[in-house]
Amino acid sequence: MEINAVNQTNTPTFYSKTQQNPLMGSALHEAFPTFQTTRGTTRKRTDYLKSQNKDSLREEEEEEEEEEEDNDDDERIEVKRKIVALQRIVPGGEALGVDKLFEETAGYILALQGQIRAMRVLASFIEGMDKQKRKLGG
Amino acid sequence: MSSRRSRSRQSGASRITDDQIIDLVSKLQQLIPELRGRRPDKVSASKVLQETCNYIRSLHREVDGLSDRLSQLLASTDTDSDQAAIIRSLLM
Repeated sequence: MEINAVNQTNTPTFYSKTQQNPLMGSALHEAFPTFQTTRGTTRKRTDYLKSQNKDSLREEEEEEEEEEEDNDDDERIEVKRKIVALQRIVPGGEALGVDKLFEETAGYILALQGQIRAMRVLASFIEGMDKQKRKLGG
Repeated sequence: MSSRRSRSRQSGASRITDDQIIDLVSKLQQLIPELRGRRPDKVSASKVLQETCNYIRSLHREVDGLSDRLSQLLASTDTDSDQAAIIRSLLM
């Protein structure tokens, strides 16, 4: 029995192999007004306090607070960076604000899991079919 | 830190507060198998996002692997089988 040219047809990928979209949208800046606003507000308050000639204890508190702000800022920068990465992974993510992005991510994960389950069932069905055929001498 | 949060001004309904982000992140956390059982306040937003990206990438790899496997199975199944022909015509 001749094996026909099945092998030459397009290999089906059940969705196109994942490509990372390198474009970063400017929607990101709109998604993070919170962080920018906070930073601006806090800095104004710190400048005001400095201009009041407070005693050294107050200055120490300011420094601690600034350091705390810096750590928080670092944390926020990290989170921001990861949200950008997520936007690139999730299809259509770059056009979404943060809350919609998370919803979309959740849906996307569930869809992928469903796809994997379906593909597994299909694969084992085809394998089972094969085994059956060989058993029955087909 | 909560006091700083309340000082930040939100000028529109579309602005996202830090609290909202924390809430969304903790919901996302429940989807990630690795993080599901852990208390939300013990897992940082950064970690949840990192694990989310990792998890999605591993799901992608799994789909690619299954895709290859299915292609091979369909290519190597006996061609005169009706069932194989139907499946093949649906997917290829």
